[in-house]
Amino acid sequence: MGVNPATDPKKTTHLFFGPQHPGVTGNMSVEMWFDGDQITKAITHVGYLHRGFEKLMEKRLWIQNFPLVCRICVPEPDINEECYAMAIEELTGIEVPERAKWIRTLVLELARLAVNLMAFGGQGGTLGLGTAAMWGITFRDFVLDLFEELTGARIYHIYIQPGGVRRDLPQGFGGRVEKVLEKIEKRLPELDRLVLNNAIFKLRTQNVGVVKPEWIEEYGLVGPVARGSGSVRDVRKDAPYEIYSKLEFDVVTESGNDIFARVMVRRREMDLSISLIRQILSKMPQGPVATKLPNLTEWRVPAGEVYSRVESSRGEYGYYVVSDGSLKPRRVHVRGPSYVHAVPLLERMLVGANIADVSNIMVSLTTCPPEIER
Amino acid sequence: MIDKVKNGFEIRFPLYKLVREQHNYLHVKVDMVSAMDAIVMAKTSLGHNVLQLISTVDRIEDGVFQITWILENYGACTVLLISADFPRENCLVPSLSQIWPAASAFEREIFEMYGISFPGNPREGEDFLLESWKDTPPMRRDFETEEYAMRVFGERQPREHIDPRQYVGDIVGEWNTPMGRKRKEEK
Amino acid sequence: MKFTDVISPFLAWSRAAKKVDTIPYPNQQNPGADRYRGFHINDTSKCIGCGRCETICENKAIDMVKVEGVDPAKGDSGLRPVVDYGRCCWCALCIDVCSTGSLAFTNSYSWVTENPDTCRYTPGVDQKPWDNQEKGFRQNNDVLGWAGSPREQMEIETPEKRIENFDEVVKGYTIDQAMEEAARCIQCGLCISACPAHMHIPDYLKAIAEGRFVDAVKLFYDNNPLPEMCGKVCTRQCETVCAMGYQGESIAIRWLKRFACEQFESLADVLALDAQPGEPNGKKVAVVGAGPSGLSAAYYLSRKGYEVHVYDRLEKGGGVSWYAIPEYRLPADGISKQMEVFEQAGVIFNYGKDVTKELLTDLENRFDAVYLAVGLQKPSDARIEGEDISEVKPAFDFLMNAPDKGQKLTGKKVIVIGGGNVAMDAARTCVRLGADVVLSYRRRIEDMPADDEEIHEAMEETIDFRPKTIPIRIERTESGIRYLYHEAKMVDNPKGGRPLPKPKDDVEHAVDADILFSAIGQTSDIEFIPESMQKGMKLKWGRIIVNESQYTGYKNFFAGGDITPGEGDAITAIADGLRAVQGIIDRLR
Repeated sequence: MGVNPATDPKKTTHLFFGPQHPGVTGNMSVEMWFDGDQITKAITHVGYLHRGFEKLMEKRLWIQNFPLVCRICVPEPDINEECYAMAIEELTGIEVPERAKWIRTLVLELARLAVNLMAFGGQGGTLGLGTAAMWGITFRDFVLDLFEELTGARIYHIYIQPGGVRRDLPQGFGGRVEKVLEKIEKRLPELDRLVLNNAIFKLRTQNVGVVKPEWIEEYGLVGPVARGSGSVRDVRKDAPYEIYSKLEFDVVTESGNDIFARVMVRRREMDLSISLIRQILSKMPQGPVATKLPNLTEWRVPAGEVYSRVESSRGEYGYYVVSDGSLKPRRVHVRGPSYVHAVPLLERMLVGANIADVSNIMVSLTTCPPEIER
Repeated sequence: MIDKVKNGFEIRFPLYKLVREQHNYLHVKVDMVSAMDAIVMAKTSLGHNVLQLISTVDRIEDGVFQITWILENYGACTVLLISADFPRENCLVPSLSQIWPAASAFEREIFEMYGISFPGNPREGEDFLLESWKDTPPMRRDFETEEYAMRVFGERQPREHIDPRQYVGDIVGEWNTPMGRKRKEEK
Repeated sequence: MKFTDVISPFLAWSRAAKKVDTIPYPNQQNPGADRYRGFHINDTSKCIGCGRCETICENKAIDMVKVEGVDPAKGDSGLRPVVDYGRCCWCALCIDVCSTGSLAFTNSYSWVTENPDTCRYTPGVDQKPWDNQEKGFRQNNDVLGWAGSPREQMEIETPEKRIENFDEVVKGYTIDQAMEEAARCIQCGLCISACPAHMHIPDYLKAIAEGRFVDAVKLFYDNNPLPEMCGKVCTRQCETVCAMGYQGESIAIRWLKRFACEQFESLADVLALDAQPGEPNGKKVAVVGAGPSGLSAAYYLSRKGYEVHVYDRLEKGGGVSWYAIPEYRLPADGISKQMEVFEQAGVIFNYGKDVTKELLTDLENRFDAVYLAVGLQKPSDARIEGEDISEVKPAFDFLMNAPDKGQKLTGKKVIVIGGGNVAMDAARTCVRLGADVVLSYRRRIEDMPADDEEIHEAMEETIDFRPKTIPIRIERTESGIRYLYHEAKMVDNPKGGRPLPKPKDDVEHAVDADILFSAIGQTSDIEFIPESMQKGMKLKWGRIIVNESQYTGYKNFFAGGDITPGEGDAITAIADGLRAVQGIIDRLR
């Protein structure tokens, strides 16, 4: 009987990391075996946050799922609403007014900016740079103030709906967005000096947590994780939805393969979002913001199946929606990027990593358990 | 781009069913025997070499599980959905974990949520979301969440609640018709 | 590794000397944004208790409950929503679907309480600190249209075409349109409270929305044996209280009823076993008058096993409402289609029987119970000087004599006085016969008792509306007649109620015409009732006063329809008939 050297109790330390640990992203845990401080084997455990969203969605009316889908992602709820709304629009053929498309894109980019601010600061936080985390959260709060004004809520906006958005922009909203952008732009260099131009940060992130470019297609990696390893894949560019085809931008990509490259992608994404928001505000057309929907409680979506995808801050985000022509969805399957990032990829990346880098690697992959256990 | 993929299917699987087609999107349905061949063909010769998702729809009325593999072509940014129906009883679906390491996690989840077995997946049966779940796999259509909650957690104290439609009918005597139509009882 | 990378993180200390971004809570508290989704408020006087908020709430946080001080009324269930903040997720779906727009969010977001039970409260009833908060998330139905939507439009003949013939003006819904329109119903049931017959409106709308038209017809016949007629000419009180009508347009309940009936060539076949005579119980009931009220009573009594004989002075069933309503509103073939059902249900008709004292005495002796539903026969006097000129005629008589068959009024000038449905029918009939029509009414157009759609359609048909005109007299001229009137101004009624028309000045305006039809209502004529019977009944203003089961107080005599005081429309008459059925059953038991 051979003993697995990776888990041989005589040679290895066995440790659970999470589910309650400030260094873990959300409620998940990683079961690890160490040889010294080198990880020999890792298993991701999820299920601590399982709320049965997909089962619940099959029991609710189409419209009633909007307050639910946004809760799959706390920092960036709008992608869920957008993706689910896009799937319904595809199935029903409901048209989205032009202005609503611009407003949706504005909301998506604001959310992307907010979540990148938080993740950027958070990356510093995992290395003991608490100040960076605080600043990131603070800057994000400026964006949340905008969301509060636009949608009536700071976190769960429930703003995008099939056929448009729920409210028009308030008077003078564009000006206030611009003010926040200026404020963030002015303060970002401070954050850069603290995080990116930081000797310790560089030592801890460069050549750590390497994602090999060949893994991208093998695992189906997306977003900053793939783009930090040289990929130029971005749904906004490759399969433009809403009005991304009318905006000018280049896909952000880095070739460092390591955590630092992924942080740089997120940092440059912020600049990109700011530029996109400015473009949107300057070109925003007038017009209606919503298409009238039928009686919501008697709304039957025609039978069919569709897979809709958007680019979230963490990468391609997909909804596989199946309707059987009834009042409720037959199946809604949420495909979040964290699924492959946090389970197969993390389990592979952690082998050989140092115990001190685990949370660093996890945050750089922005693993988000609610996407795994919908 | 998607035409090439469609062509591939027309040549190899003339009986395939087209579900939805767009300029960068193709959804086809094949029979369960051809499913693996179709996926391998998509990966090796049609450029759809990235597995994005394995999803299941419980079509209980037809007695089948519809398994859908969503494959992407990262270069062309096209999506290919391949669906196949598998009988619901003792459902066995070939595993893809030898081809894509990421498939293992999807398959483990489906095993837990639907009770579908993927022979060939070395980690099948390993706890994923539901630790020591003994009941019907919860995502099956015949698993009733409310009934389960009542059974496991006990009945909830019902709150005072009046249905306006029935209430108005009661007040005005809607059901006192000569022929005596029965009042509809609440569900 | 650059040297600056070692130094640069320390520059963060410079922040210590700058203004902080956070606020010193609780000394400084930021108010919620103008649109903030905070705590609920509800304008309980505006709320109609339709329960839409409860239906849409995905968390079951809202329950409809009885509330002290709010009583159920026509178009108001008297229920109000109670919100459980243990479940609410502040998604604001309830706000956006609120049919009256009474429910809203304030921008208050902070509330400390020691008693968690107060977190379930009835907004607007339980006093809360934020009740008068003006800011917060409010409904905007112009953007979303979730709280009320426009009606499914159906094809209507153009005014130019329709004045050329007596074809039906409203073409009716197609199947798709009808199913869409019926699907707009939110199943609140408030319409039932307004319908005199309490028809199962939400149920049959649901049946139509789901394409179950047979079920819909069966539901109609549960308490209305004249659905196709009601589907065309009902006064549709249901639609006035429709929850969808507050911010959108009420559901076209009337047209949908018509639609379901029109799907079938024969209603008798559709109903089949549901319209058979009941097991005979050996009792006989006479119904006097084959109008809506008499027919309703006859139908259900026959279904209950009574032997029912209907007497009418006309040669066909249906009563004056069918004779007098022009073809373009109610075609005759629909009438015979509905009459088949009565015959299938075993009702025995005796047409051409003048209702006299002798007949009533005879019926009293031969039958176990008698239902009087004779309606109103005598046109009211216009009480205008010169109304006895032979060219001045009651519009009602004109309509009764099938004016569409053969008559011509080409080139004639006609004046119609009145603002009710009869006035509209007379005016529009005259237009179709080729006349120029002037319609004179004492009050404003919005005061007219006629159906809004009727008024609207009449105005499109080249009829010269002269509202606010007070008749003075009618004179005979060499070529015809001259109608003189004062222009009126509206003054407030000191007793309350509608404003009164008063002459604006002394100027007498004149219109020359060939014929004048007065359409200012009908009155009853109860001379056919023997005096001995009259003594046993309670009479007032020529009408029979009855109790809640339509009992007259005299032996086994019941009465209903226009001969008893009431709203004077067909559906009220049908409701009278339904009550009489129960009354007769109870009395003959």
